[in-house]
Amino acid sequence: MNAPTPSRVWRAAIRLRRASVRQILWMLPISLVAAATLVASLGCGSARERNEIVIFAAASLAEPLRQIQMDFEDANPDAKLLLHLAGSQQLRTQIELGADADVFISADASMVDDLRRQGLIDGATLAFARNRAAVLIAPGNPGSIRSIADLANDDVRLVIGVRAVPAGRAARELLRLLENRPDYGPEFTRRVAANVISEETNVRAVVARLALGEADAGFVYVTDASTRSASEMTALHFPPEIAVEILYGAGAVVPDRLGLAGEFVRYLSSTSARQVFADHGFMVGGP
Amino acid sequence: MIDPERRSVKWHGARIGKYGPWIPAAFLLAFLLLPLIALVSKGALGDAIPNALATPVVRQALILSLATSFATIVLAVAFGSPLAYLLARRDFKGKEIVDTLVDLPLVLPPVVAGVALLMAFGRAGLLGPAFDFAGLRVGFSTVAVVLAQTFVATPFFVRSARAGFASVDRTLENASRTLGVSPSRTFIRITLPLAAPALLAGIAMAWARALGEFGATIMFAGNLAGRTRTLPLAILTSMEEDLDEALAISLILLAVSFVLLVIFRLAGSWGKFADAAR
Repeated sequence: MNAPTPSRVWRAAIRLRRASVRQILWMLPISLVAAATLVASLGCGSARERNEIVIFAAASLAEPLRQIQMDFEDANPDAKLLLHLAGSQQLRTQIELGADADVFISADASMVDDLRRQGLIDGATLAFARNRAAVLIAPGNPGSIRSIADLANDDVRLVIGVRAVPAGRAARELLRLLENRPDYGPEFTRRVAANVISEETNVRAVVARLALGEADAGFVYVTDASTRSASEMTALHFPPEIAVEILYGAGAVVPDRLGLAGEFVRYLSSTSARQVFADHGFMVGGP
Repeated sequence: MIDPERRSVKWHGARIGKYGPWIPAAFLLAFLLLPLIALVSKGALGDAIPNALATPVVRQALILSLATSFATIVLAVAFGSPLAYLLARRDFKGKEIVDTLVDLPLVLPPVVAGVALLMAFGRAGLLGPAFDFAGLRVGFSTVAVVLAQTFVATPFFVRSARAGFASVDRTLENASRTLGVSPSRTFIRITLPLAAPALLAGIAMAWARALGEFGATIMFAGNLAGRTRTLPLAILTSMEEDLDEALAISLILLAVSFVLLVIFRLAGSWGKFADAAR
């Protein structure tokens, strides 16, 4: 092997520079930044803080859960809760598709059971509260709705949940109850269905349509009437025999690495949590 | 081994220059293609698409999407062509501002467009009381779907048409006029055919955008089967009930988008042939 002569090295260096130094200099920082961004974006998704509990919860539980979150974090200083609120059916689909949730709280306890059968939920389903379907009237009552019968009037604009969201199912059950009564009947429900202008994927989206004044009335839960965004809305009165209840269920999503998810689920049935739910209008006693 | 230094220098030098760009490019191509391959392989299996097409909700959404996007294209061509012609051919005060405004919906997030439309035409919006007085209800109707699509899709047509009209050789038009042909006939016989490839490309792009419109529609028109639930909204709704159905609708939209893209590219190359032939 010949030792490289200085002139050869020099020539090689010139060639190297001519051919590609500029390209390498350009590509180096760009590819470094690109690689770092890629690694960082992949890392952010999975590298969660160890003590973080991600809670997928039904949209209707927003207010009590924010209170309970504070209480639980006070009692467990290591734990950090992250609330993700949406329609229960959306959360369920997200968990089925592999979302990184620790706790699933559904407005339909049977959804939690379904996920357990798929091996996605650990331990028992905790049924911890109930709610009741209601009709909320937009601020200023633009549709002049004073009774249940008025919902079928011409030109009334109604919003309802999609069939898959528990609030939408409860609303349809409510309409079925009315359909079976002689004072309303199938003609009433047909006209009500024709008055629907939009179907929303969670109950808070229904409230939002009302707050904007785009609809006259919406099918929600009793508890939605006492939230801040509904402060100028009134609930339509229903006789006690026309009532549809839903049952909230919670479960710890597999794997419960720290046991904190299970602890939070149990906490939902504690005396203090039950008090918070009751304060926000939820039913926590026996059926 | 004659000259290892030389060889390694050559590798670093020439080869990186030659193959270097392929490495990140291949990553990007794989990243762009993989989701589409996954969608096709997961969704095209079995009877997902025939089953979905047999469901009334999906058929309704398909018909609604085709009808509203067709209406959008008619509106975009009817109102967009004159504007594109003005922008390409006339000088007027504030032309730059108009030019920029036309492009704004291209960069505006569609959800913002939806909120803006609601604030303009919704019941609580600027024109709400006037519409209410006239007994018109725009929001949450099929008309609202068309308006949302028109708002976001028309600029794609105007942009392309503007470029098309600008590229027409004025000497051909002048020759036609010198030979005594009327301006309107010159427009129809000379300008329009020469701008046609650009117009067609614009139609394809605007149509694709209209078919895919989601954010503005769900904000401004709501989500109701048969009236405002277009294919993208049907995907959102099905996703939570029936994943196969959502996959099937996605595939339908993918196929339609692909066809529109092919039309767009063909129109582009047709335009080039026309240029070369001239």
